[in-house]
Amino acid sequence: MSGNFIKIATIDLTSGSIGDYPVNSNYYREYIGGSAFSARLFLDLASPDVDPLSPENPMIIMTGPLVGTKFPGTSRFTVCAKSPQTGIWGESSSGGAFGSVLKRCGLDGLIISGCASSPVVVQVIDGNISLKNAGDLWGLDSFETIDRLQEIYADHKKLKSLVIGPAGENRVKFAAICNDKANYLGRVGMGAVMGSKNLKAIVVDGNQTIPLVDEVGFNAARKSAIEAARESIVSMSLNQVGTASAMEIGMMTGDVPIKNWSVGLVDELGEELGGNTIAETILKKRKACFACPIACKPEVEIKEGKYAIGTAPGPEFETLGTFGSMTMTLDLKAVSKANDLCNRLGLDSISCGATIAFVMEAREKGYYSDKDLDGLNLDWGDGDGVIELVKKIAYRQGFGDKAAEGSASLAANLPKEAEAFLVAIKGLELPMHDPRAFHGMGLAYMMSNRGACHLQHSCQAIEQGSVSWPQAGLEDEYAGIESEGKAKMVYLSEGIGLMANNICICHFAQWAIGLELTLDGLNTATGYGLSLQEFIDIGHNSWLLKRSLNNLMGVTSNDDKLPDRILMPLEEGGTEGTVPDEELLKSEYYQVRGLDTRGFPLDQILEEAKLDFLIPMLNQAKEAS
Amino acid sequence: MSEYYRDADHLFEIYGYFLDKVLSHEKIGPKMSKSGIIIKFIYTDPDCEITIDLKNKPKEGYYGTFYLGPCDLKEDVWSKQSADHSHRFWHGLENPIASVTRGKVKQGGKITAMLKLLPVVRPTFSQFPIILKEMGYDDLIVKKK
Repeated sequence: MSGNFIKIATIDLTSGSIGDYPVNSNYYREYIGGSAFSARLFLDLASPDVDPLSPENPMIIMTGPLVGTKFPGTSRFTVCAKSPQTGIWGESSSGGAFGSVLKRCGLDGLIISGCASSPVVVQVIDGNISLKNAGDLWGLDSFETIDRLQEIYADHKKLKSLVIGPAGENRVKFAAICNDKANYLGRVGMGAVMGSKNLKAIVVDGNQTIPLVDEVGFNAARKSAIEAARESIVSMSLNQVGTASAMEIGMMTGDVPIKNWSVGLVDELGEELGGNTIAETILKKRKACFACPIACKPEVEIKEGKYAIGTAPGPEFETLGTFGSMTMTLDLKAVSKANDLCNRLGLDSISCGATIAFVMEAREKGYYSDKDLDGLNLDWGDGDGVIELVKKIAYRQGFGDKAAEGSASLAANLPKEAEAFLVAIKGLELPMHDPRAFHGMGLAYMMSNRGACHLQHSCQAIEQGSVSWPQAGLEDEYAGIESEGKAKMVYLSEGIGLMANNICICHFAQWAIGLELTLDGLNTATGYGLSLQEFIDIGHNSWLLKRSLNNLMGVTSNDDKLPDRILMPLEEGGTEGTVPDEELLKSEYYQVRGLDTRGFPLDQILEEAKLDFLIPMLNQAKEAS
Repeated sequence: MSEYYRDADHLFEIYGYFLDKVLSHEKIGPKMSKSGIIIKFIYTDPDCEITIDLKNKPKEGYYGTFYLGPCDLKEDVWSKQSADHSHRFWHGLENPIASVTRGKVKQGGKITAMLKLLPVVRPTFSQFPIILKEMGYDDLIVKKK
């Protein structure tokens, strides 16, 4: 069994003790790595009712078996804990190079618990772990912190770091973790968890070789995967301007939400916020994660004016949506500035932009006065007001302190009618893909285990037509605005997508190289000898494990619902007059997934997945509910 | 054998009428002309081509020029597909991403520039069936399944 070091370190920040976790080696084959492995560890380590911002909430950093091997797209890693934003299972992932370097320290993962008495940096150099006083790093923004760390560790040229900015220090519920400036663990507030532990940064440097079972076979699989990735249409579209290349098609199909999900079409959107406009105006170059042939990360340059950011990571599709179309800020430079602030201050640009769009609509409807908003001008399209609120959120100043709790919290403190324009599921703001354009995505959002998410499955690629995987039981093509039959599609896409998350391969890379080559890479590295069906089944088991964990954290069928706004048809645009059939989607899905009416997995399903150890705990939770 | 078009002349009759309307449309026309590109559509079954010039100055009252059949203009971008696929596309019934990934549409040249046109042409989808009706081709209107 290889591809891993079978070594996970524990760091207790309260006592300062460091050790090796006595991990059950069977977990490697059963859960592969990444977030599923972390969910299994979480069950061993903590109580589901743990306070997310308490020392007892373990922050688990995990890699996967291909991380560090240079197999295309496998630079990813996950950070998991109970989420302070949603109160349920929390997981976030990122690319870049941190995961690969952590793995090359001879570690598959880190379990960080406790809370340091004063801010610290965790240092992992060639596998040796120690704690350092964070000193003057506390209070610096993410970029300043990384620059300072590079000065401190000047002897380690390949040092990589994870850091939090002021938002994480201030425990903003959607605080992100910054991974070498251009990459973020954005969703569900893992930056706040890190801040709650007084942990400012983690630095890693190592150069061990990842053990492989079949090195010759692996190299052949890797070579084929690189060739496939280079020839793929997915890669070709992404390496022009990154994910922003989907903006124009998204505007045509109705995938891009506008004005807090209330408008179907704005003529100027393509011209102002499209991928082409980025390419023609501010794009400087494209960058890649470690060993990735796709290179989808845009770097942009804005040197002058009030939105100057110098040369910096540019806005991607999600951010163009949340800060652009959602707030009606049809100004690429203003959106880039908001994106840059999120990067520097350490905020999830999806939740942040979506929360501000919610505030704008609440203000328009009279729920907030100008005084409530500290005099900020938050008219639709006012980029300056948006930018000011981003800063206030990160530092929890004035109204920013309330907004730092997220849109679901804001809505809960307004009259019930405000829920009509809250667009979140299980407390997490929806990503920028409108389920009215692709009904399956609505179901996928409903059933995602970290709240509304477009990366807990491969639904986007399958339903929008970027991939065709009939060998996995999927249809060759799906009509976006149909609900019937989508439950099976979502179910299968979860098995596939969650395996990508377990392996820690980028979804784009998996789309580009396909299922068989991904499986070849995994099998040659680990020697697991999985068939395609076994591969997908592990993904399904991962879903069941996390769902059960969520059930233990209080999730029931009542939480599997689409926001009212998404069930309101739009009058024009690509989704004109159509909404997902929530009841049909949910009932078909419950049947195919094997959930009871309360939303708990059936005992038989858990037994088949060899997750029967969960049954007694779930029975207790059912009785309690 | 095309499901919708008898021959190239039949296709030119319908697309000529449609493009004449679109390229003189006061809302859609200016947005299309902003792209500033020359696009060649190559159709199969029936085999023929149409070029749309959004780069050079058009005649009075139009925002672009179209050429039915071969022309000497050098295109910036080309798109090849069956005439039937195109017919369904203009009804808004074809998924543009799937069309490319499944090889139903092949493209070359400045593809990103053509992408810019996608949100712009969206409003024409509702116009295409109306135009077919105006021309007496009710039988060619494709109904949503």
